[in-house]
Amino acid sequence: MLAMLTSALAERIADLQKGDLQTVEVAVLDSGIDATHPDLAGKVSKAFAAYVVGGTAVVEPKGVPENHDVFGHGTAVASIICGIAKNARLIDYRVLGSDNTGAGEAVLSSLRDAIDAGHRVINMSLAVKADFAPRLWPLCEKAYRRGQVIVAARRNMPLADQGFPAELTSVISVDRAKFASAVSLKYTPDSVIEFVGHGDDVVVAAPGGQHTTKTGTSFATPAVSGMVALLLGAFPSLRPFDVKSVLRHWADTIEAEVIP
Amino acid sequence: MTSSVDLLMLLAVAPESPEEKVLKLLIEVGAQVVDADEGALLVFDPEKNDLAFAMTVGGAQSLIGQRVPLDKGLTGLAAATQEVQIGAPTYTGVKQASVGPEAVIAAPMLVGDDLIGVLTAVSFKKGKRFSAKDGELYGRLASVAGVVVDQRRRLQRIVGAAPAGTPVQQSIAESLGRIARSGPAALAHTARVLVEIDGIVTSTAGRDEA
Repeated sequence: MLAMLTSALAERIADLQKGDLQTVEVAVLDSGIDATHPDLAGKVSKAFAAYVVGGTAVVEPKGVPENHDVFGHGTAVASIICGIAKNARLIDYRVLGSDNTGAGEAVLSSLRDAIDAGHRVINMSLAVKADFAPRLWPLCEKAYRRGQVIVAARRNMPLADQGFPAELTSVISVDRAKFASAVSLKYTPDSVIEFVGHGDDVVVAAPGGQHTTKTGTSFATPAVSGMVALLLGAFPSLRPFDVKSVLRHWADTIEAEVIP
Repeated sequence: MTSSVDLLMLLAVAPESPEEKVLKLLIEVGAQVVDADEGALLVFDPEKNDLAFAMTVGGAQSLIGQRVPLDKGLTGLAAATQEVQIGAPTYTGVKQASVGPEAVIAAPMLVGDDLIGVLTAVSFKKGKRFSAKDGELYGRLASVAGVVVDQRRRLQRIVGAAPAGTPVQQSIAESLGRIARSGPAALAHTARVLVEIDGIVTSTAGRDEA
């Protein structure tokens, strides 16, 4: 295990991208994914949608490949992950819909489902209300103990909190900055949010075979998820603690130029 | 700059009121600082579960009252995620010239967990992109706008809960109001009569109690 960690620390992201990698399942909890987009052809293996019915969230299977994205947010996130990690296979969980009252319950149910299904990486480019934190915490702990990596976004404009689950130490939390490259990373040990990824003016896929440009922590987060998927594809037995250590090492070694 | 009855109905903010002026100012300042061509305030309608354009600056007046579903676009996404959203139009392959907006910010107006509406900024300038800092500024302006609306709603609830007086008191108040409007002579005469009545009431009050 230690030898594997040492090897992982020595690897460069660019070298990993060229190597033979195991497939890594990445659950994307978001607004759905347009799996018919050419950039995502063959990348989405399962799809679900979470609804709140009478106060209870239900996670329901959906068809693949179909367009389940109601906003374009999830498709953008998915394209960033697949742009970095060719070995990623996405599990689409639609938790954001037109009914803005049930999002927290939908997120909790989908996260529970994704953990129980054993997906190695769970991307959460969203934050739920702080009221949900006590129920999120044991789920994130469970994922950590099972060797699953949750990557979560800081709020774009934090007022009361930085965002949940991003504030929880068992997840990898991500802020945004403008870097010259999508594969950029900074480590911020003095902050609640540990890592900073490229999240400004990111060119992404949009539903209907289109593309667009997006800015925000939502788009820095999948860049880190992509790096984690690469790492786990090369070194499948790494644990979340190891993954954080390698990311920190990479952050120290990558020439990440922050563009003001 | 325009506003509609939606403001009165949904925001509890009357046209030409100090609160409306503050909201207008927030939209104007926001649009100027981020160099946007248009700014708007959309009100959340919980009954219809959608957004309605209530105020605009620099934009077409025809937008006022238009409904925007919550499952569409950056405004809907800002409402659903309760997060500031910064984006651009979509394009196929090489970017084509278009008459649509080049850049959009949508910031949710929140009070606690309650959605009040969404503040937007739009630019049509070629190649314009709003920065994350622009988004943060809009997020803060939207927070202030949310507080303005919340304070107004609280005041309205307090006024609504205050006792309106008995029917006799209301009747006296209405009569005095009519007399006051009828001129100074009638008002002076009424004042003299009231002083006499007050004297009679005061002198008889002790006897009644005894």
